[in-house]
Amino acid sequence: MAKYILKRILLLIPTLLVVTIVTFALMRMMPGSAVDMILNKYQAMGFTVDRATVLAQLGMDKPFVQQYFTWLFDLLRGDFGDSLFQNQSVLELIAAKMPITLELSLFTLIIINVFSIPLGIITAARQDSIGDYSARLASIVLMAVPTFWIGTLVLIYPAKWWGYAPTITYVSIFDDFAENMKMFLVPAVLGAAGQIGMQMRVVRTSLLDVMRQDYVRTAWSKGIKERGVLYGHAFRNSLIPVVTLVGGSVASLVGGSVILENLFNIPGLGSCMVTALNNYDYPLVQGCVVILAVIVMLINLLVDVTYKWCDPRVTLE
Amino acid sequence: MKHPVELPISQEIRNQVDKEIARQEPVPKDSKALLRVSNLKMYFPVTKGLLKRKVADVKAVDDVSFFVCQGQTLGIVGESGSGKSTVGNCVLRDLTLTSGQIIYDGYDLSQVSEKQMRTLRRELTCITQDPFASLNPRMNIRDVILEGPRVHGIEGSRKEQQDKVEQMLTLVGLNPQAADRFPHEFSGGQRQRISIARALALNPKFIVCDEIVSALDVSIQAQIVNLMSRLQEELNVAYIFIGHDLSVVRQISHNIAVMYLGKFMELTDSDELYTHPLHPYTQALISAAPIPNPTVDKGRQRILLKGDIPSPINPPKGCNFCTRCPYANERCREEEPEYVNVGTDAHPHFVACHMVSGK
Amino acid sequence: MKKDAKNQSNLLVELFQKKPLGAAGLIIMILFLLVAIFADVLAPYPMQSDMMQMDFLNTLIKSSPEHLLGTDSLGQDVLSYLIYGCRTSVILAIFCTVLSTIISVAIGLASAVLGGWFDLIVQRIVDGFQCIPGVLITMILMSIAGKGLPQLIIAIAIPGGIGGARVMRSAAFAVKDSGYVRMSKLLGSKSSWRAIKHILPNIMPLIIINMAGALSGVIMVEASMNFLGYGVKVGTPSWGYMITYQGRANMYTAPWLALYPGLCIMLLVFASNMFGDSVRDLLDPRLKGGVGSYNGNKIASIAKKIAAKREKLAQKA
Repeated sequence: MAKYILKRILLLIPTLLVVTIVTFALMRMMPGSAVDMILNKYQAMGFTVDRATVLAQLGMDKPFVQQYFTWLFDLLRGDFGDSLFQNQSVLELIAAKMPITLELSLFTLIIINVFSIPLGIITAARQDSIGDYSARLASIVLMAVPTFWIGTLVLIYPAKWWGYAPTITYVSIFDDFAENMKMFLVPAVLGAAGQIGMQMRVVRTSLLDVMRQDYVRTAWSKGIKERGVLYGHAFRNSLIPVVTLVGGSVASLVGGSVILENLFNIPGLGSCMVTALNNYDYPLVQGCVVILAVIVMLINLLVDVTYKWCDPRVTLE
Repeated sequence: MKHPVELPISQEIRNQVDKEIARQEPVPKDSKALLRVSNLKMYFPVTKGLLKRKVADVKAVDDVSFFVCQGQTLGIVGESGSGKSTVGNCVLRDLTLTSGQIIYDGYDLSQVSEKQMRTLRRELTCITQDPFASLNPRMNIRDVILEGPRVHGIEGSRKEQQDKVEQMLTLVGLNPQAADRFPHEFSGGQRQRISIARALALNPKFIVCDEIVSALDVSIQAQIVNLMSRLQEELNVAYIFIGHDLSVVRQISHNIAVMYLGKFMELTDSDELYTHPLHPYTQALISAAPIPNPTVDKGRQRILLKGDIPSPINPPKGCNFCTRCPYANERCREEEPEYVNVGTDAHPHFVACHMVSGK
Repeated sequence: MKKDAKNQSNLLVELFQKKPLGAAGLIIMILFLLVAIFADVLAPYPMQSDMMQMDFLNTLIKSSPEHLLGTDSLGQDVLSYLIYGCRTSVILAIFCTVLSTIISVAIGLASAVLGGWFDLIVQRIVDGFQCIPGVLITMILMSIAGKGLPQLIIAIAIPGGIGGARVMRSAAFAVKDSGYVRMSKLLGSKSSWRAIKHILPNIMPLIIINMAGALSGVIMVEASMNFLGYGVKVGTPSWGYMITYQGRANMYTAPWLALYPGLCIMLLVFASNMFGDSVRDLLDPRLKGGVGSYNGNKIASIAKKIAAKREKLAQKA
């Protein structure tokens, strides 16, 4: 097992390298640049600044490849550079925003699993019952709702009817738990809704698939009660696709947080990135993307290890 | 007897390949040998750890030599894991051999380029064990049969294609009307016939039959073996016929090689092998086969082998068979027996056993 | 086994016979397609020289005989706007799905067929891309390419296509290892022949499943991108754009501006989800209910009966 994990970690290195290359290349392909933004800023205040000076200060007068390697080696030393427009280092900014995004994602993930797994088991155990059909229909409807739209509606209608507005000032969970929950509950539920539908269906299908296996039939024929068959024999074996989905949903949750954070004014990594992107704040965007990619990678690793626990036959391909 | 199929187009292929390579030195003597394999070794490395350090070799095939003449069959029998299929795969160049030489009709198969090999595959082909996996479920029988000609761009006009398919299906004993049906509509035996038709569509001169009857019912096995014999007579094809059932392999083979743990134990013509088996392993195999006469069957003595075939990673010192041989002595455990001809040049009988060569 | 080999032309017939919900989804999708094609005829206020007509005197009216669904803050007729928005969504959905499928299949097939170093490197790149949330890549690509429908199509299709490549690769690998592909090689075929004649037809069900599944995702992402400000050009009618810029700006005075386009998105996504699900059920025999369908109720009741009988026998004895 330790060897397996070590191998996986070694495989992460080239992947991470690709991530840095892709982000760097994409950022530099953008038309217009941070330099223009800076020049405009000074021009608006009546100063004329030499373009070359700014370029040299940002280290952008050098060839792309050299810039890339400078950035990469700084990264390896843990130096993410400074934000161009906020007077903070990228690492500080990320450290401030990351917990917020992580809390939102984690909260969403919990809600997803609390609802989807029991629902999936129940619908599988009672296949083709009315409950099964209605839960499945509900799940397809849930999956069809665009998050930002329902979010917009949640902002509009309660305000219109009851004068209620969701909290939009961020309070840390350690300072005021209730206030924090008030802020995160609505976005988390909205973010979870679509995923609940999808995951419930995966749990259901996968459990049904396992239920048709010979060893489950054997379990029935031994006279084990339904509960025993479901939890003792079928459930763990049906977990594999679910684990994959949970792992995969983390990436999309982080992606989805961009939308939710913008909608509900949550000062997390997602909204930070959108601003940075609009400002051509290269170091900040690159830093955010790399950090997010690392998190996604680590979670994928965790998923694969869990995988191995669920199914000892799994080996590294 | 009139050939239902036109004679092999070999001369044409020959010219084509000749254009691509200067012909290598043809094998001296035995010019009738279509395929000549000498000192074939196929080792699969066993790796360990992150750096894929090589720790051992699986000696799947260890120093095997034989030849096959045009229109004849070499049977290879052995237990599973004895390396008999690996020999077939090496001949087909599905594997890159560790060492040794495979000369097919003057061409060294390990030397010819990928392109030349593709051309050679027009006459050197194979039929595999699993009749279910070897047919693309999304191709109808017509496309399956015509795949070979199409791959080589010799499928001809629509009319010729139709004729070819009907000819082939008739040849293997299937209804020519079946051409538009899909593989799943056929039984195992019928599918194996389709595989045979596919192999024959290129007018091959040499076919490697890798356990082609093992997955079939006994009654169907006999049909397929009879079909293969008939085809050999009609088309003058050479076979390597690989199997684990000596009594089946015997029906079709001119010569039979008995393989154990990557080595040939005995090789001679099939009647000789049955009447005068020299190697203890061959004797055990023959005694294990049932005789369809209860009185004879009851009276004879059986040689029972104990234990399993040893791991090819770590073969026993000395004779490979010494761990299970009822006659094994000290010498067998120490010294590897030589593989020698104890017959005459006209009727060779190769065997690797201290007891027989008796030196 | 049989299903595998069946001609795909039967798919439509089967869809209508066995999957009424999926067929309904297909019909709804076709209706949307028709609306998109005949937008100029259907819209009460058709576009004139690529501009929506604006009624400057009647802005933000709720509903009237002239404007059935009201108007927005620019005086554009909402019904006409939705009809043209449908055209945008349909164009995007079709092109994006096709493009991303082509990307995934090309990468997957090439990886499987060429194998070796090519596969190793391409897989690292795919891994790298998959670690970055797709929304981010699309956002960055959009800021490189600028606003507009063609740009949006490409920006959504690239991460989608790369993301799907892995599934295609493993499916292609499974087919590549099959007996008939090996046989084809031994008959002397080139790798390109094997890819097109053997591997492609055998991963076709997966490709269709993926396409059907991608449809709904693409529509959602388009809407979200418009919400984040990386959507179509100003003036191109789009549902997402309307929710964000009309709906949110006028959320208290004219909440329907956010409601209607959202409902349209939901209906289209719902339809394509149902269609995609049914297609998958039909093409993937592993997930089908048919043979050996597990029915907890039934088995439990049979088990009860057996137990009762046993008891009776025991009492008699």
